[in-house]
Amino acid sequence: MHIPYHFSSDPNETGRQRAASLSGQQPSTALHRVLIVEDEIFIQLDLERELNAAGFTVVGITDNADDAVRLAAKENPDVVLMDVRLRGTRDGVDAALEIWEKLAIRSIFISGNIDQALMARAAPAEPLGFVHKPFVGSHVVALLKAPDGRG
Amino acid sequence: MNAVLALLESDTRATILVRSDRFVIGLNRAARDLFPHLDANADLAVDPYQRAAIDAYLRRCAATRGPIPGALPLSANGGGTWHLDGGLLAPASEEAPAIVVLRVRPRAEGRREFAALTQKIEELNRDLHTRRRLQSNLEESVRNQEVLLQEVHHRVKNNLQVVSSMLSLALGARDPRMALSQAVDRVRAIAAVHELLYAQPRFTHMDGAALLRAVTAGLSEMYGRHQIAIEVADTTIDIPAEHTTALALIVTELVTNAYKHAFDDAGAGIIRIALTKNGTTATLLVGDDGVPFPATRQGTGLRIVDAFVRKLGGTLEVVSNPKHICVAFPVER
Repeated sequence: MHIPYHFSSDPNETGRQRAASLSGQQPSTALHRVLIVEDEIFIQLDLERELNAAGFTVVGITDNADDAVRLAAKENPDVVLMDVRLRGTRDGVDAALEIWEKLAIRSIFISGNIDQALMARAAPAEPLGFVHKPFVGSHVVALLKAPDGRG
Repeated sequence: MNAVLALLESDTRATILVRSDRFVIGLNRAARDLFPHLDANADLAVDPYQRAAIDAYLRRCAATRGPIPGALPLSANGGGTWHLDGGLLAPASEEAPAIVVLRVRPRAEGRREFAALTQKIEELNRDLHTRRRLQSNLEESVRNQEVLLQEVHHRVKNNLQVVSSMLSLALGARDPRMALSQAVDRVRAIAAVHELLYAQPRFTHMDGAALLRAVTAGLSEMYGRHQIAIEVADTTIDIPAEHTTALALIVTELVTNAYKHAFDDAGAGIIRIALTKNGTTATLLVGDDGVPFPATRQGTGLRIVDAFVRKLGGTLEVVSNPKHICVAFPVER
């Protein structure tokens, strides 16, 4: 896995270790604590229930990019479930890029409009996967359990 | 020469007979009209400084019978040059210099022909300009349509996701039957708003009273609790289009909450709804005459209401006496 050079000077050692471990062989144990970033309440509730039922811990839920960065720094999740369209001026890609650069936490993007442009923008955040809307919770759960099999 | 002049007299083209030494022999009527200062025996050169140029032209004309185009200042007091064709009428003899005939090109007519051409070119330019503008408008319109289509496509998928999530939530609920009927309420509320918005002439705003009527009508049908009346206070406020779905879902959740928790199964009662505006703040009040709110606020219903209040950029207040919930949100004046 590629780690951006400017990241080598980042003092957040745990983040680097986690980023390194993600490229290792035990993704299912690595992704347990999840931050949900989604601006539709019903999708939030659904994701939260699905994840709880599958044994994950939802460490926070927010509907905007700034709170996503703040919550990620505070809760130190293993992964962020990141909707692309969010409340406010910055979108999910902006948030994911900042979370990756500052905290080395990777995101799984959720969007109704996953195209080349989006994937190119998101690429520097080293996304763990992309989920198309409409999805069912089990897709997301499967991806969290096996992020390397990026379907 | 008099015979020649007689022949030319009624020609509409101004004609001058002149000797190669600039001595004017005669003019026809059209020429006399144009150059009243010239007559027989006059010097063709009005301006002494033009003599050399006129001499040179006349010499050239005298050398050939073919017409020589030229431009001479023939008017008194300036007046510009006149275009003409000059040709030899009688060659020089021992007694007399050559005689040249000058046929003046009609100025006004020339201007008219040129003006017509200019006008045509201007018309073509205008036409081209219009077509270019039209084309760029069309191209922009096509781009806008493509963006709009993308947006609609995106929203449809997102809304399908919302519905899918609602159903998924209901499946996992403790009382799936109740949860499903709530999911139906929500979908119907969204559909009612959508229907209203696109059935009216303007898409930017919606009549608040119509919105409340449409949403509550669907709810009372669903629950069939006819002994519980819904009173919607008269309102004249307009709701911006982007707020209508959130408002409809807030009303749906609050009224459903009242149906579910405020009255016992056989109980009668009134749910009151009001929508008012004060300056740039709109206020939604939903109250009932049933049992008081529980001491602690919890439950998915209120979380949903909170989320939509947040979408409106508003605030929510729970008031115990008289029992109601107040949602205030900003709208333009």
